[in-house]
Amino acid sequence: MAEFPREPTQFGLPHSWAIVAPAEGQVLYRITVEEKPAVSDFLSNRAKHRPQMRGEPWVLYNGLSMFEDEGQAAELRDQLMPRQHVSPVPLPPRVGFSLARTRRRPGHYTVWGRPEDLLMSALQARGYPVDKEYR
Amino acid sequence: MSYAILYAENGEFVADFDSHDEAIGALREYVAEHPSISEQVGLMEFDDAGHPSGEFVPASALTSEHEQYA
Repeated sequence: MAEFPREPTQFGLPHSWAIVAPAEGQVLYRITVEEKPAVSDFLSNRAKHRPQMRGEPWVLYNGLSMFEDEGQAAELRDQLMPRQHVSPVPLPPRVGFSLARTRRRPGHYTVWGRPEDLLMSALQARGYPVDKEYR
Repeated sequence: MSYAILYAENGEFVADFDSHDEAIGALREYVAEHPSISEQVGLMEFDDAGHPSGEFVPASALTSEHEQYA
């Protein structure tokens, strides 16, 4: 099983640091609006043209929040918008995905990748056919 | 205990804090600069194990309930 990047505090670094690792087959969980994930589910706050908070690190503004455990994502989803869904997102190697353990909440990761590639991975994990338009 | 500012859609985190007051201050400043997002973004409290320990409170509700921070 692929190892997850560790928290920076485990190396004596401040919490605000991020140790970015290339994906090696880890699986994380993403809250998606519909049961069938859409490319919009894999757009960062920056890509969605949401405003950057003053002082928010640019690198996190360009990433996506995902969770190590499906239950962690589901309990957050239940508090935010229960009609949303949780999708597994396999992060295979050699696709260009990166991940880092970020934020104070245990199990929270920030993921970077081409939105269409992340969508394809999530669709395949759920058994949906992958349209050639995503490739 | 920690406090996160996040968007309800997709559960996208924006910032997190150890202090409740600091989190509310940052959220108020964020929506004051960008009022159009006040229904989309809000505050969530987590316990030390990372479980939500309260309901998601949209910024639009927080700003009216926490006038003492104005």
